Amino acid sequence: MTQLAHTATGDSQPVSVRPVRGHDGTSVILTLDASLDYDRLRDELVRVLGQSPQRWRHGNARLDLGDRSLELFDVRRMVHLLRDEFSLSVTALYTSERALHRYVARELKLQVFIRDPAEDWTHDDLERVGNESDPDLSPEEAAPTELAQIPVDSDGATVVMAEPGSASGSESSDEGIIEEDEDLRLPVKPPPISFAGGRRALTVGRTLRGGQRVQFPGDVIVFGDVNPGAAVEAGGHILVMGSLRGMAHAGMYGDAASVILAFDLRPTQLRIGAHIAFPEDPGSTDHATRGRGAVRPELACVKGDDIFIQAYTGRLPVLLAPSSSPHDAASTTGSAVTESAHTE
Amino acid sequence: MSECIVITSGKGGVGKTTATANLGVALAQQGRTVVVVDADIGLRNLDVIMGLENRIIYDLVHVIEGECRLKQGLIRDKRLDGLSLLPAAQTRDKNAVTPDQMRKLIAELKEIVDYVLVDCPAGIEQGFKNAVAGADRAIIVTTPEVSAIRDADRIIGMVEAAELPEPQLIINRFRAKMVAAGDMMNKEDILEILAIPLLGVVPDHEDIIISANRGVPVAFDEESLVGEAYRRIGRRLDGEPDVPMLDLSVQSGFWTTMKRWMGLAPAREAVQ
Repeated sequence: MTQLAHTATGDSQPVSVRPVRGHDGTSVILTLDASLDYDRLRDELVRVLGQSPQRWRHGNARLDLGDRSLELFDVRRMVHLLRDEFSLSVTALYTSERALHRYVARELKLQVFIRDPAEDWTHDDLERVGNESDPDLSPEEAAPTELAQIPVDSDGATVVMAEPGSASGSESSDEGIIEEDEDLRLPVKPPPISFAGGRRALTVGRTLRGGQRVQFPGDVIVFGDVNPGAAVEAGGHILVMGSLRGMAHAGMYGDAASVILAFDLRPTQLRIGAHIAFPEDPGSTDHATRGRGAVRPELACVKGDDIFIQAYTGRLPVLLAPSSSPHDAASTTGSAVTESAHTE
Repeated sequence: MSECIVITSGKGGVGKTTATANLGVALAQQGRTVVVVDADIGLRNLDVIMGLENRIIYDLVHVIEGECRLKQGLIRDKRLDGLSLLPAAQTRDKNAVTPDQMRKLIAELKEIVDYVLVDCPAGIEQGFKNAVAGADRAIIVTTPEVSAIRDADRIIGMVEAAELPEPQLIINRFRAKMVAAGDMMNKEDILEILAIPLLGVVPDHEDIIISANRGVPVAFDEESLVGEAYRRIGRRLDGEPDVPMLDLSVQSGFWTTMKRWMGLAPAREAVQ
């Protein structure tokens, strides 16, 4: 594989650029020479892309690492470099390093494709890259047949990636990030009712048990617990004056500025806006892994592209601008009250 | 004043039928008249646990469909005068009975006995709705397992929706040794999630399997710790105040051995 890369791209082109059209629009595949270290690659990337910097602005890029081994740290640096210098969003990563797969998908929210060095398409691909690596090649000239070569998720899942310029939440890791998979973004629906100023809240005066569900377009306050198997879905904030062990979806119409607050926050799953998060160790939600005394109110909110859980300090956190909320609507809600707690 | 109590769990295999049989025995031992009703139509077990299988002539569906009188359907227990069984039909299914018919049947039974205990089938469908129909209150049986507790929680919600008063909880198959080692959820963990009053904790022991196979509910066994657990639950159920909880803590080997040697401790203990 290393050999192929050399013959195909040659030493003069450690970085090749190839525009393609994928399910997420036109993007560029950056194939990186397998033998170079990070610093060389970075310099080459800057040189090649710098030849026509305007052309790539606000586009999407797919990084092809071949079978090279790049540290997660370096992958992250490269993603940020592309974002900051060229406003290029890296949406996908091709690598034969399986170990890299999991971390990149989780930490950088990229689609990651495992490529088998022995596979034919790899070889073809590299040859074509050699032919079309001229940066001046316009995107329109990319042959449509190439689409078949790009392993795109069959469901065309939205790629989660920080928008150019927005701070990536994955860097401030001291707040206890919990996992969010890049292919788990929720489709966002518009709110069912129009609103006329002011927030509305629904008060639930009991514990929600398994199989019970409360849905409300405004804020929801639960005086009780939300048990495993129960669900609370709100257009705005969710406050649980008890233990939240089930599922909560705040900002269900796309308002990523919504928060979830609970006296004891150990959910099976959290959703805010289009984001989903779940604890790394779901087994610990039932087995008392923390003592009673250790329980304190916690708050979940979206920063950048991640859901963070932090101690509740008595006020709403200063939120970074929501990166991708199609509707900023549900911050206020109307009068219709629909609680559907179907208990059969 | 007679009362109908449904014993339910959501999940199967946690010990509903065993609990029903033993609570029936315990209440009858206290001098109450009891009918245990097997509402698990199509999958009857209660008759086997109680050792009354070979005496069945009529069953619950026969009574409801009017093929026999109510008293003909009741099977008197061979050991306790106050205890009878209304067995389920084996050849029919849950849809053979409606909640209204059950309500009527339970009302008739309550006129002739102090307690009607209904053994509810697993699940949340028609069988559950039938079993809960005539009940005045519910007992939830669970084991210290996450899946059983999930289902118990769901069932508690459904019992509340059926407008029964707050149910009580029996934790079955409790292993003190595993809890002490941190390998099993403890009582407090379970009560924190389910948040209903605890009626009793039943230890796990091979007694229960032996007694089920023999058709003699373990509550008859004066020496069994499991039997003692059910007898105490029966007293609490009957409204006796301040029945102490069974001590299931892991005892120090030395003193237990000494006590047993001196004849002060029971020869058999719960598997822990």
